[in-house]
Amino acid sequence: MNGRPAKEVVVRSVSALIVFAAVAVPVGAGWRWMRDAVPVTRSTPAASLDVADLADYEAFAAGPGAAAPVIISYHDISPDLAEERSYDVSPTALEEQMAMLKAAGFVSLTVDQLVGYMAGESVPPRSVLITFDDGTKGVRTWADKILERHGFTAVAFVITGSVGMSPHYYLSWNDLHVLHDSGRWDIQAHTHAGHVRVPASAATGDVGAFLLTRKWLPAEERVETIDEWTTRVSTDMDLSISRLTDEGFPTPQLFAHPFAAVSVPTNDPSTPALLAGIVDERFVASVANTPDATVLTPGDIAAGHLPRVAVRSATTAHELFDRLASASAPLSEAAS
Amino acid sequence: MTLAEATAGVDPPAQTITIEHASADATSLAATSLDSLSLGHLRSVSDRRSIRSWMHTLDGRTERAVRRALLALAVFPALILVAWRFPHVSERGIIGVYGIAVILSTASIFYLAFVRYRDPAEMAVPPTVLGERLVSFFIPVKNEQDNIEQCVRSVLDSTYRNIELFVIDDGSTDGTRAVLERIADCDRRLTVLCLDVSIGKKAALVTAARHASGEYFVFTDSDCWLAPDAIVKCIAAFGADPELGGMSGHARALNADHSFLTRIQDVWYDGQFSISKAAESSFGSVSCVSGPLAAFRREAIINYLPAWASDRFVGQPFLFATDRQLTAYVLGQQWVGEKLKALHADDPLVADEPHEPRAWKVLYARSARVWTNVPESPRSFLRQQVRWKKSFIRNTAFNSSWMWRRGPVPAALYYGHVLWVTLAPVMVFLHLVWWPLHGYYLLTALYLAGVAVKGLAWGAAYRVQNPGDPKWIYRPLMTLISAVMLSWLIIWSALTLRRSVWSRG
Repeated sequence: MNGRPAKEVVVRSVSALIVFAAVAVPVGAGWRWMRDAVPVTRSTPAASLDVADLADYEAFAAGPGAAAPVIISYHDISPDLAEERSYDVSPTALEEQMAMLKAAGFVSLTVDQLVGYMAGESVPPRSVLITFDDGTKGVRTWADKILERHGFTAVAFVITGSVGMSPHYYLSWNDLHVLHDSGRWDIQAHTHAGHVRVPASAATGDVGAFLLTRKWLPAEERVETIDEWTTRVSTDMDLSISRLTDEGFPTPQLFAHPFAAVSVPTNDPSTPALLAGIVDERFVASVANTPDATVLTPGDIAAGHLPRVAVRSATTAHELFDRLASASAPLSEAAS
Repeated sequence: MTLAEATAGVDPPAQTITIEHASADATSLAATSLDSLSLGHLRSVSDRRSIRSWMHTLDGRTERAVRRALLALAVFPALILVAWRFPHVSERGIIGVYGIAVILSTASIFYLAFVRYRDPAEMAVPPTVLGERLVSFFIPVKNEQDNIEQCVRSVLDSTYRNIELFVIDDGSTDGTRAVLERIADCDRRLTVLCLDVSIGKKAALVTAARHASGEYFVFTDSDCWLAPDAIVKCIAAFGADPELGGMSGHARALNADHSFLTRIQDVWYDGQFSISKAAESSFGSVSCVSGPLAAFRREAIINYLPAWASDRFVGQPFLFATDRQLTAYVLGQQWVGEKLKALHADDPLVADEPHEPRAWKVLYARSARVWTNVPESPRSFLRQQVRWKKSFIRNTAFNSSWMWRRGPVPAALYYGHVLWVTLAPVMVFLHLVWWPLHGYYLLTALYLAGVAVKGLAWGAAYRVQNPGDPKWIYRPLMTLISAVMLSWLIIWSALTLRRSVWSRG
């Protein structure tokens, strides 16, 4: 009888500890996951521009500016830049670039304004369409606040099949609604599940962009027929539109090509033209990063294929300014 | 178990352990009840199981703490899953909430059933109570010549002797009446009321109740077989708790060995009673005191029997003799009792012995055992399911306005169940028809995986409640059948609500 009460106290204590742990661990983990997953928007300190740089920007603002818009392309915005992710831009760099745009007299366009311009309406001089590809978390966490500070609007090209699929990387539908409802963001198409590479050949093990490559079918030991390719690509395009409209967003008018792959590489030279047809049937225009992108030319607008200036991790505000200034140059000169 | 064995009462059915107590006299029965816990009836088969036997060496408080810890470990993976998905609930809308709600409610019900539930019949009872109080026992019957004798004999052979048994023959056209008269000739405790024209099961029962003078009213169905100590258990519980108004026994299938269909029903019954009813019982609000063994304190129901017999719904008499509805009068009489009594103020059952409506407890006793013949053909099984669901619909219309007043936990269990029954067909349609048609096969697979996990959880619960019984594997199957096939029946039942027939179950 002597040891009995002590034993029961021990058993009760151990039981209570187990219950505590079994409840506390999920609650703690849930709290942590919740904190990580719910995109807290974070502020970035306002950039203070170098006096000499500012003088350059203000001189440009005082000039006539180009009558045609230019499109800028970003991907994720993240303070943790990894070497292999050269398209990610840090919040600090984005802030500085937006401050530069502001100082240099740029105004941002909405998708409707751009589409209006393509139809013949005019836009202010020094117009810019600011775009972010892939629909990543950084857009809500960092970019939105920076745009708000400078009074800019922007476009998010989202991969609809990835929305909400990776809570730490992709935006959720809820995020997209918050962004859209702020009035600052247009949500546009960037494929449904087509932002991947597919096997192109068994022999070489080559892979190619989902949209341009006739896929290798290992079970049948052949590449898909052009009809199969057409069905696969059109279905993905249709889904990228219907997922957005099903969620209550306006029908997307712009399509951004993944990997900037408009024509190469491909294992079938006929796909780029066919792809252009598929895109044209569904969208007002498509955009793709181009090394020598300038302001939109009448040729770009006629083709419905618009070039973009890509910003990378290493791009400084002044480099971007130079790029935009030179991109504007041909038309500015023509106009003056 | 064969019917012959059951009738003779020789070998108790393999499933039950409590029957062993039946041979013991009342005093030793009460004595063993003194320190018994709700798992006590498992003791004799579980001694070889070390955790169980170790737990029996602990005092009540410590044993409960250990159970709480074991349950916490068991539901731990589910809680982690919930914690993982919770941050993304808003992205999936109602579907995300649904999955999490199912997991959390299942875990909560298991907690109530395994940790909080106490078998009211296992409480200490002064032995002098046993046998002193008269029990009025009722069996309605119609055309049941093959089963009625074993049913009546199981009541008359009960270890509780102070019984007046009413068997009401509601216009049988087979040999039922002859069988009953033969038994009545040998045992004066049996009164057979013969109705030449069928008046319906509830009216038949109420007719008998007008002749009854017992302190407790106990009901069973004509195809059931009562454990010898079942009535003792009931009366012990009523004696121990003056607030106890109604109590459900624990029913299993008498014909479990007949076929696959009866076996899965048997396993399913065990969960419906030892988990679902136990959870409701832990807060004193069992929503359905089941027909196979339904015991009531006389003053808790006598004034409401006229209302029960003349119950009307959607403009016509509601004929199913619903055990749910009778239970509802006990649960809700504080709020609707006076109104119901006023409607039948001239009826002697109300006028001769008026009772103030009270806040009765309605409990479930796992140790009060009864076996019932479950439907053997898919057709009769489906008909029974439809009947139950019609009763459920009728009862929901009656209960919903006051059930929330029974307290937060009973309200959560009750309204949660109503919501579950309502949403289930929608979820089945979305996951098995709508989304696959739209190409989302993964959602279908995930749904079926969820059903399988839930079924396995209930299977595991069966395994714990029935140590060594391999039949737990039937439970996931029954969960699947219930989710995929039976959930639709609520719609069919609602559409055919006006069609009703006499039935025992």
